[in-house]
Amino acid sequence: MSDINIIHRLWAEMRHFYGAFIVALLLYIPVTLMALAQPLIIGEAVEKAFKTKDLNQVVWWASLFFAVVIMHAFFEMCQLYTMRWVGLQMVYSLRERLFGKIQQLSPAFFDQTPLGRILTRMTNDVESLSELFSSGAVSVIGDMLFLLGTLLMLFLIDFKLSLASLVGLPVLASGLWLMRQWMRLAFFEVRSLLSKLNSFLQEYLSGMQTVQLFAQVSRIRDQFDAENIEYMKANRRVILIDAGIYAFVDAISTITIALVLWVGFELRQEGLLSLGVMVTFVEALSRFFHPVRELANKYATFQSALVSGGRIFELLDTPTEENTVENPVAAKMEKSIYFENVSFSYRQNAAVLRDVNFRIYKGEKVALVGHTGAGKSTVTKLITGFYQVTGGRILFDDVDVRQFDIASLRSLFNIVPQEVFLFSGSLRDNLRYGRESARDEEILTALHLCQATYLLEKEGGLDAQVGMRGHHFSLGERQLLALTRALIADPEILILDEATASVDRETERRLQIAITQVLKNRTALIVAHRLSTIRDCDRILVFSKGALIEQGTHDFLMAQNGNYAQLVELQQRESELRPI
Amino acid sequence: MIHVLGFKPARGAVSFRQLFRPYVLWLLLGFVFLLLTNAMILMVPRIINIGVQIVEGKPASMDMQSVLLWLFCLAILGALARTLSRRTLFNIGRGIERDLRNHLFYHLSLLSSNFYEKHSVGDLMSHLSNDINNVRMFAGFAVLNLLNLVIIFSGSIPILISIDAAVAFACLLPFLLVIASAQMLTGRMFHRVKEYQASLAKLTQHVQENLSGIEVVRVFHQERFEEKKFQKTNQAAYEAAKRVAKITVVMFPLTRMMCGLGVAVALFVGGREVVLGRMSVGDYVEVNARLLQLSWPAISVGFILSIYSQSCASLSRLNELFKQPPQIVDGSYSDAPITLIDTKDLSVRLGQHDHLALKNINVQLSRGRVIGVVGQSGSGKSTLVRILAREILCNEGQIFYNNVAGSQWKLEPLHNQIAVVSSEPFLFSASVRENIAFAKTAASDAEIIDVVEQVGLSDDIAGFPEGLQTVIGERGVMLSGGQRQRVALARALLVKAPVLLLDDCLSAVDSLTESKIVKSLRQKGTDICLLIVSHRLSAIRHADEIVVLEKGQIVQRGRHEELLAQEQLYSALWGIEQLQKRIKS
Repeated sequence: MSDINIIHRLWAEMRHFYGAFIVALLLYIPVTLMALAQPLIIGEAVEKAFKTKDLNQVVWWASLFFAVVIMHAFFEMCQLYTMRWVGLQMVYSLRERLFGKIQQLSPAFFDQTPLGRILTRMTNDVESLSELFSSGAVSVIGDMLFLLGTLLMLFLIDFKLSLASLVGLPVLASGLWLMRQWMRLAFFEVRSLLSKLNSFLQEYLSGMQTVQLFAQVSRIRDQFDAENIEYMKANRRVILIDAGIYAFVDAISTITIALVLWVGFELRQEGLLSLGVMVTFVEALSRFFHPVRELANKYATFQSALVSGGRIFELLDTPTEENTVENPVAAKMEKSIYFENVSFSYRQNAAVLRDVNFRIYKGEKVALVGHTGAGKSTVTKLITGFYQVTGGRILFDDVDVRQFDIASLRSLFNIVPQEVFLFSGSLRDNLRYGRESARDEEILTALHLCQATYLLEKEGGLDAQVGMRGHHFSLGERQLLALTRALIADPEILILDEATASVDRETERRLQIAITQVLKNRTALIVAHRLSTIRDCDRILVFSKGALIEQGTHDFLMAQNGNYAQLVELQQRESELRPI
Repeated sequence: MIHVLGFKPARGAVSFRQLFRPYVLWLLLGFVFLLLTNAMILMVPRIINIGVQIVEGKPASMDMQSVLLWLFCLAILGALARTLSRRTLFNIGRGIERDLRNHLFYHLSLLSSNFYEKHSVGDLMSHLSNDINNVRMFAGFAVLNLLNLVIIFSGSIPILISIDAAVAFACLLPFLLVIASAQMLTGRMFHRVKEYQASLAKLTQHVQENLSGIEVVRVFHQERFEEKKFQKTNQAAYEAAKRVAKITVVMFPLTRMMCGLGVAVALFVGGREVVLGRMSVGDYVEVNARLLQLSWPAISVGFILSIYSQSCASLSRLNELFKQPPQIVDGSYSDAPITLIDTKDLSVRLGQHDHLALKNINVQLSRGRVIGVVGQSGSGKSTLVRILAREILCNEGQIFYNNVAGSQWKLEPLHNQIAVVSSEPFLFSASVRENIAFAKTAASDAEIIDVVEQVGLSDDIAGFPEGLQTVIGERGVMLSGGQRQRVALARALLVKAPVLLLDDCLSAVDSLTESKIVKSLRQKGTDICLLIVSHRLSAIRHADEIVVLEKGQIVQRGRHEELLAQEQLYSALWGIEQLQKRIKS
């Protein structure tokens, strides 16, 4: 994204605060006027009061100066506050938009993007963008106004003397332009070295054990110091250029005043100049160069804000998970779900499902069994629309799943995953996660049915906090809560991914009861590990290496004595070994 | 030029004094440059004064030409001195930054897994960059401005008094207010900034949790709900930022106003003096110029104070890290090659768990023998390997290498002689070759090709776009699990260590290939101590001794046939494995 584009986007992003932004810009006018008035007043005082030796005049000009200084401070505060307010609003709304965006990105995006990077967009990049309004670039507009105003004022007062003060400007401009070029190169180097240094740290801190075990610590330390020195040297180049700019502006400032004194002297000898004008010039020019000195710094914040802005917009522009057709229909399932020759692969050449055919009737409970990687969980991801089939189709009644509105499709389902994830917040919020409107009585009933009321007592009510990711609860307890959550949501279809990890006998017993409750009168797809659950299912689908190899009831499959019968035997033996 | 003087890494907490010590000479030099800079700067208003007097037509101590020459020289020399002083003093900041970062990395490289399990790398990183930055800001920016402040005030005040004592005292009064108000505001500011940072940390945490649970959000279609929840957190951060802004927005204009008031007072009192003929217009202009020169240093007081308090907090945070003692301490003994490793009644407790991960373990590795270790997940196999590699320490019992207690060994030669391969190895985002040669950077191509063949990677590498030079991405993401494991094995084999510990390091490779690799290891490594952990019994059935672990204890040991005959855990596991093979085939 080019700089112009980013600025354009930023401008569009500010549309809700145009009013405040314009007010902030307009406030620069009184701020500038009050600043310009100061040298003018001193000059006038010299001319009017000092010359006439009138003490009353002195009091009058001093009081005026006093008032101007206070008004300047007042307007400056208003100006800064308004501008800062715009910046804070921007930060708020960008964060909100980014967060909303993240909620809608496709699973494929998350597969490819490290979470740390997304987090950086929401924190560091937004912060850096807001610097534009706090310390940085926007105030350049005010500085420019001040500089132009000063020049205009000086020209209006005395044309010849102004020309003298202008002599230094071309030198200043070309010098600054040149140094800015160096600065840009130096900055670029610093930035790339810093990111190198950071990725070095990131990588070697993560792999420190490996480094230690291979006795490579001193080599890596030396390598780190080499990077560290490079970075330091690059920064010192920046320091040199920065110091140069600072000193250069200072020197030009002094020389300009010298020129004004000289030309003023000549003009004065011809009787063409008053002392007051002369003093005004000296005063104005002493104040003129300070903002110029800051320009270089502001340019740097401006640059890094633009980089951050580019990254933020890139994330905002990432295509979201969308409906595949233009006029999607609301999802429903009245008779059955049908997998017709379904194939799927996450990447090319690595088929995870191959020509799978099966039908699930409404109200049926179907178990999926097979080894890890056989394709069971892929079935659940396809059916809920997280991924699209790469071959064949999935039909709900007679409608292809791709015709559905994705939100309405999701609302048919509730999922109880292996590793239950709870969000920090109250127990109530977590339990009605699938149906926000659930009343407390409903929640309590569901907890009772799932034999989970004891958790409520243990934690102290529905308002109890569950901790980060629900860490107040054990794995089994979390699963129990997820089952309760599913019962409250009362979905059309339930997807249950049984936990493989062992839980204690008491929790196990409660889980069995909860599962029975949740499955009652419901279509269910169960990735099953417990024999007891599998036996109770209406039908069992056996997967192996992405293919559906057997299906039928437990008794039927056992009688066949095929793959399923062996899996059952294996599970039996393993469960006998499982330490309790 | 400065870095030759660098700070020597040492153990324990560091103080500002230690950090500055190597730079004392540079600090002195910077101070001298700063004195020069200010000397010239302080002369400028006086010359302008003379210039104005000449223009005014009053008798002056020099003519216009000299004034111009003086100003010109002062401008050039002042610029030079200014550049040198800023460069010298800011460079110190960067030097200290590098020293501190080095010191920290050095310290982190001494800490073992118990530390890294408690501290996430992300946390460490953000800590590092922010805290080191704050210290650097103090060492460079704050020090320069502080020195500058002192010099310019102590230079200006006598001159101002010499011009007109009454005017000087009157117009310096507001400057005292500047300093007082800056101190007051920065105190408040510091608290608010802290609150703001806390609110940002909460926001980060919120987003992090949301990202980790994003799939749940999608499944439950709770995007709206999550957005609403986020609004609260976002709002809190906004409010905190606004509270900070309220101070910063006031601080600048206020300090600037105080300086302006100084000028107003100068006009009032000084104007009176001029009118009464006790002061020249030139003197008045000089006073004004001097006040202007003082305004930036006065404003900087607030910055200096806030940077100072922030850097103190940062340094104490860094010192928290420096105070973490390394768990495994270097000894002095070394000896090569290691031909015997003996453990005596080892017991290990991991983290805060109340059960023992290993209990009364006695194993012996010796040159030429192959030890196999089996057991279900959680039985303590990996812990045993980590103990043997001296990656973690045991709580009870002892471990001897060549009959010398592990605690007496120097770590580097010890680690050099023990090669470990885990089932989830850490690879670096470098080329395949660089990864394999990680512990032996000078390895020849022939050596590399040799180990590549030994681990059966030749065909895989031939298929990579750039062969051995292919870069494998962060942690080796470009490779499959099996390829990663074999690269890690090759890396360990290359060093030809006398001890080789394999922790289920071929779990993602098919069993046939695993057996083949293990067989070749057995044949080639007849003169090393070899320990193989595997969840596949077929891979270790030929071992000289097989140790069966259950819940951290050795429940069976012996050769394959003996263990089968005992009809306990080992034979049950063997039965399951055979069944699995049948199902798969």
